[in-house]
Amino acid sequence: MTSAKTFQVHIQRYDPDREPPCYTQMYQVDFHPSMTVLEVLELIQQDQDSSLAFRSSCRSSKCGTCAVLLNNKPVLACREVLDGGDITLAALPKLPIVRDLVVSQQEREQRLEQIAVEQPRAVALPESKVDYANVSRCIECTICTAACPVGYEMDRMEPRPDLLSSMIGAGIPVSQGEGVPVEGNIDHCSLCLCFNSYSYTQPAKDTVMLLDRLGVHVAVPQQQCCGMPMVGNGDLDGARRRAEANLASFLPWLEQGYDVVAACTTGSLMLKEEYTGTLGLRAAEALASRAYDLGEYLRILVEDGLLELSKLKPVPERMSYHTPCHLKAQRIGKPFVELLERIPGMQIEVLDTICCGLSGSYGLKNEKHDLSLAVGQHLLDALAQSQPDLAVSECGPCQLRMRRGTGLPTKHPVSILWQAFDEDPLCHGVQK
Amino acid sequence: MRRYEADILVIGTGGAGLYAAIRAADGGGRVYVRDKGLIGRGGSTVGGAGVSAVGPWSKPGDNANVQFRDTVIGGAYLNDQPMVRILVEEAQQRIVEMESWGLKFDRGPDGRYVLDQAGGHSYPRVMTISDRVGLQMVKVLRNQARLRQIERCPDVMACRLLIHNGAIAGAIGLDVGVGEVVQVNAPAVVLATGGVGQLYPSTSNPIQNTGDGLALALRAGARLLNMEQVQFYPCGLVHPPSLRGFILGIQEYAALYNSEEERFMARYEPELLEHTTRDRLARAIFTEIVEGRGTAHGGVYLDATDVPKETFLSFQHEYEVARDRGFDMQLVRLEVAPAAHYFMGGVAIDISGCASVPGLYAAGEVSGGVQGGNRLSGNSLAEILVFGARAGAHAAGYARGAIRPTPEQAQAAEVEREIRGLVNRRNGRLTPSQGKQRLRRLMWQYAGVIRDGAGLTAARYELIGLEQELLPQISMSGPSLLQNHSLVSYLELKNMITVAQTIVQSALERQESRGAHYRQDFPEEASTPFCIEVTLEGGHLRAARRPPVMSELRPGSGEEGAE
Ligand SMILES: Cc1cc2nc3c(=O)[nH]c(=O)nc-3n(C[C@H](O)[C@H](O)[C@H](O)COP(=O)(O)OP(=O)(O)OC[C@H]3O[C@@H](n4cnc5c(N)ncnc54)[C@H](O)[C@@H]3O)c2cc1C
Ligand code: SF4
Ligand code: SF4
Ligand code: FES
Repeated sequence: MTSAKTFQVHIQRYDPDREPPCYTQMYQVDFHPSMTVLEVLELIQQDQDSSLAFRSSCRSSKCGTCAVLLNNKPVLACREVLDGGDITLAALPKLPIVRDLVVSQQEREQRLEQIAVEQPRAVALPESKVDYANVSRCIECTICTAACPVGYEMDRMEPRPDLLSSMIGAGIPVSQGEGVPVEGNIDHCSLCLCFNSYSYTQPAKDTVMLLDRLGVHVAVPQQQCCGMPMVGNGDLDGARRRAEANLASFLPWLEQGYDVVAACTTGSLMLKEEYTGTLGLRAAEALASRAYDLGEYLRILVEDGLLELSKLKPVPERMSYHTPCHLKAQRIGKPFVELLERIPGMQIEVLDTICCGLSGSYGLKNEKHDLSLAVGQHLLDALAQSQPDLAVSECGPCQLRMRRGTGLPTKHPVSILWQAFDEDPLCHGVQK
Repeated sequence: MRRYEADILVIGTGGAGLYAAIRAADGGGRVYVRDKGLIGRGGSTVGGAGVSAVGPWSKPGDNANVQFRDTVIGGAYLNDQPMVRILVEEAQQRIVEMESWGLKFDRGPDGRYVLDQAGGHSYPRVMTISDRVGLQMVKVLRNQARLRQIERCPDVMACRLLIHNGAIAGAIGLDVGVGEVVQVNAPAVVLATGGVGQLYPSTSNPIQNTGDGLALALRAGARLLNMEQVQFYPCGLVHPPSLRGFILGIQEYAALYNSEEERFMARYEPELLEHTTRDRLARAIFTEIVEGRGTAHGGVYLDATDVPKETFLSFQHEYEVARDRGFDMQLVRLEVAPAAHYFMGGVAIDISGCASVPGLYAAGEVSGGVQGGNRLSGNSLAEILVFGARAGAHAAGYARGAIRPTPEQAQAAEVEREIRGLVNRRNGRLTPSQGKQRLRRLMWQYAGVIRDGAGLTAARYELIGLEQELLPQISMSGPSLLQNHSLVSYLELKNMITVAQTIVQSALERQESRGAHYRQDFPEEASTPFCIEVTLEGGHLRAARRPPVMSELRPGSGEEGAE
């Protein structure tokens, strides 16, 4: 035993009866090849510390109960093989911790109870659309929920494997067209994403108009697709090429002290997190640290007194607002809602909705259309329920889904703000 | 201590427990469901190969009578035949119902069900969902339990059944989810706690299968049936340690070698080689190991390197799981030994799931009778559906007519005192897991694949030693009950010792070799089959023989079939 190679296991423990309840404990464990995380936990519990609490059952990757964080990555403890290096273990995030590595599934179970339906497969989809063999592999370990960067609770849909499958990416690269930039020569710079550049350009125009009127110098440098569609479809190299081109184009502006603002939540998320994270571009750190979502940026301008919302006139339409997933992922609240709500008389209702179902390019694919619609159905239902005059979201695809699904007119909130701003001559005078 | 009032309490949430709960709820009762792990993550979840059932889909010539005969002959006439009749007749109804709830079996290109051939079945009749039929079943059943909003709670280990005036009055549990002792008052309790694999060092069973339900039932006065009948799967991995007990279906296609590079099955079964019955294969492997021709980790070599690649497609999960740990079966030999797999014995019940104590029900692997001395492939997943449903429905009816028992404060207080006393034991020499290892070694040595009178007698004394000397040496991790796994593990060990004692007692009483029970000192089958029932009387175990219920088929008439 003495000759065995040992390694350190740091376990982030939790004991509500202790002060402080969270603490890290280190154990020294003998290593042997093929050792799994679960084996390490079992050995500690057996020979060193029987107070260590963790879940397991089958030991063979079938029951889904043993998920933990290994060096910050969610893994199945019984499946993850170690290499002998020191490790850190912690409880899965996003679920309440009971003790040590044990999390409570009760809330999840209650939610599932609320959405349980009599005949799972028939509700959403025709039989032929369900890749049952694939989704039947799900063991409900909740790792996907723990791993999802945008906080989508994928397993929340269980036991509706039809819906679950719709969340699993398709892996088909989309066509690789180059971007035609919106040209401009103004200061503080704005990156308007493809949807705004090509398909529905009004939000981009309104953004530039509004920022300009508020006295912000706006520049619209040469730009391409942010790369998110490629990331979403597994083409990381393609995404990296786009990112590098955008970086090259934006860096000179950054050096002159410009911030980067994106009118699309996907774009702002991409700039803030994915260029450096998923794509691993160190050079994008400067860009990430200066990137803002448009709503977030406008909120700062309001705080700085550049825009007095209480003086604006409401638009007459009753609006329902849908929160884009990529906004939630940025954990900045709902800045546009905050802004619009501060305009006296504005009638805006925030819908309690999850994903619109388009999920980037996913729902645009022919073969995924039905699945995507099924996922987004709750959004259409919510709109049918609240019957607004106007459906609002800063995400282009979300608007598309709402418009097509209900026939309601849709708008980007910046257009509403611009409308409210433009209609009130008093405000025109607000200058820097 | 928190107290709850229910009509029916279901303990255990594998397939049997969930089906029972669903039926009990449909029967109008207030149902409480408790599991010491998470809901629906037990033995049923890992049940992979398939479920056997005859129905309109059966091959020409196959029908309930044929499955009946296969099951009874396979079970060496220890089966309770009225129960087998119900199994083969009702399995298809449950299958159809499960399909209406969203379960989807594999179908071929022609749209017909895929039916697998499996050992002991005279027709292909095992229905599959890739290699994960149990997982899918449990998902569907959980959904039905949610739909009915059945009160279900994980992390509650049942510790004691409450008895009032000779009938069931509920149960006491340890709720480690909130850190409390809880009491559920209920006139009907359904035990669905699964098997006993954890009594052995190598097992395919999940960690919760420690035989708790058997120990609880015994202490409550119930009769246990054919406790010696432990099925060993011939080829479970012994290495790597993280996969100890992981069973390999690929065995059916592979060759076995001992440490002397001999394909030893040629000595035992010159014609059939590895294709003999599972019990014979297990005994041959076991013999090689105890006679010193085993591998470094105490197994024999399983060689699947010549098996065609396509064959592995049907064993996707096991192939991947082993490969992930650096053991690619297509490239290297694996070390295997028999692993405790299924328990045919259990709480004696009737066709409605009633045990011998009024108000007590049992269903699934914790119950005995259906499978006799040997379980055929797929018959267990069929059993949990059929008898889970029956037990739940009957329990609901019983609870409706039952007088509500007076809550048993005294018994509950006693359990709580015991637990509070236990957790303060901080300076023992052993952890509960170390204690379990001792028990497992002993069971493997004396009450494993091959047994004899001397070994079983030794086991009986050693088990008394474990109970009286080992248990008091076990240390607890601290006074809080919240996720106190050392306490759970200790209580499990205590149950395991009790169950081990009944297995040994029953094995001593069965002075013949029948089904999965093999006595070296009595290698032959007795001329007339008999069942053994174990009870606890005045603190002592008592084993008694009785004839099995052979309502349709008797030894000797077997080959003619059941007309
Ligand atoms: C690896 C493997 C493969 C198998 N493959 C097949 C197959 O292909 N076909 C087939 O027919 N059969 C198969 N079987 C057998 C079959 O899966 C089981 O016999 C069957 O699922 C048992 O179901 P059950 O509901 O009785 O118990 P389980 O599903 O084991 O459920 C028991 C539950 O009770 C809980 N419990 C235990 N003690 C307590 C307590 N004290 N308090 C509260 N809760 C408790 C446990 O946590 C568990 O959730 C297989 C078994 C294994 C292990
Ligand atoms: S889909 Fe999610 S819950 Fe299901 S097995 Fe994969 S990671 Fe686990
Ligand atoms: S955003 Fe969608 S595809 Fe991406 S991790 Fe989350 S659920 Fe999965
Ligand atoms: S213990 Fe079952 S999946 Fe890890």
